[in-house]
Amino acid sequence: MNREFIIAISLGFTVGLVVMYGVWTANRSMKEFETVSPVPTNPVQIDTQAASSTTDDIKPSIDLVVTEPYKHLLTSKELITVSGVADPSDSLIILTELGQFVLMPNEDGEYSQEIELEKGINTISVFAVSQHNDVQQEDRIVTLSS
Amino acid sequence: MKVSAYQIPFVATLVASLLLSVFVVSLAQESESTDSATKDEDTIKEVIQEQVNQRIDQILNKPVGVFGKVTGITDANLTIVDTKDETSDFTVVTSSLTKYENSKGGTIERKEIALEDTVLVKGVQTNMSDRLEAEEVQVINNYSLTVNETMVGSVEDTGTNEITIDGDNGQEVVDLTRSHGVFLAGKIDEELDLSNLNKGDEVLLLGYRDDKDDFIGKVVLVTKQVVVEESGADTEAVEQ
Repeated sequence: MNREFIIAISLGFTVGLVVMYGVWTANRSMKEFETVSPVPTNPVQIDTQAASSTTDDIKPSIDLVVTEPYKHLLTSKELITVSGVADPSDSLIILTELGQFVLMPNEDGEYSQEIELEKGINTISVFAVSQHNDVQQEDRIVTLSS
Repeated sequence: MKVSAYQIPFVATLVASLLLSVFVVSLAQESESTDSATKDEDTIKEVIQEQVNQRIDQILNKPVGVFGKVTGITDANLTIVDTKDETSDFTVVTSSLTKYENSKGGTIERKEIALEDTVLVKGVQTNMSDRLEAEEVQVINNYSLTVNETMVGSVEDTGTNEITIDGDNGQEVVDLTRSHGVFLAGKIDEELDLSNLNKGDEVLLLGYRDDKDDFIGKVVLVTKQVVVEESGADTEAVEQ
């Protein structure tokens, strides 16, 4: 094998290595870019007007849910949170042994109210009154132990 | 076109190198993405597992206080029916560590608990079941649980701390001594005074009945107001 033949093979191998390095570097850079700023491949345009008009047409009312306190809670804390979900347009009334609270849920329908317990057995009632004056009621019996 | 003798090995090596590079890069990519996916999957699994464990801890072994009536007594257990929800039976598992008290907090013997007694069982509800492991059983007969309810009617008359309602049960005087206030339904940021109410206004009262069956109002929601004109002769109902 003469010298020129070996030089040609070396050159071909070197150029191949350079191209491989280029491809590898470009590929790595692209990957880092995607990690830092992910771009949705199919961005969705949301038509808020259309969405709201559809919602207005259907407008399903949300049933009153009390997520806390759970049924028969036994606690030693005098202050507890009553929270849950209701229809955003409902008026909410929370009756406790020591007081009452009138509030509105937020736009997502979530509500939260800190209440004080009296020692012993407490009845906590959450009422949701709709715009049509339909009433939903959820009760929780909570015991404050000493 | 004349091909040089050195061009053939050059091009052949170049093509071979390129093919090799493509192969190596694709292998590296596959390995990297597999590693990354496995790592992400592991992280997600860990987070979910942690949340699930926390939730399970909350659900299992809940500290509870159940108020109910004793319907069964055996050596190991008591059976009680939830006073609030009469369809719920609980098996109260007692042990040598269980304390028994009367309504005044005095210590009593287990044998003093009788059928039909109303008790407050403090303990742990296990595995979301109807099984309560009792730490304390307190007999509290003659205790009436507050039952909040609603009353609908039209205003007949108002006083300083009372309101006469014409409802389903006829006219009834509602005690508003403990009233938080009077609100327009749907406009709860506008608090009214009792004196703002007129005869004929429709209201929704929220409160409870006391031992004498009198309705104790806590919140008054005005659902329909009558507008009294200047002449006082005509009234018009205005729905809120």
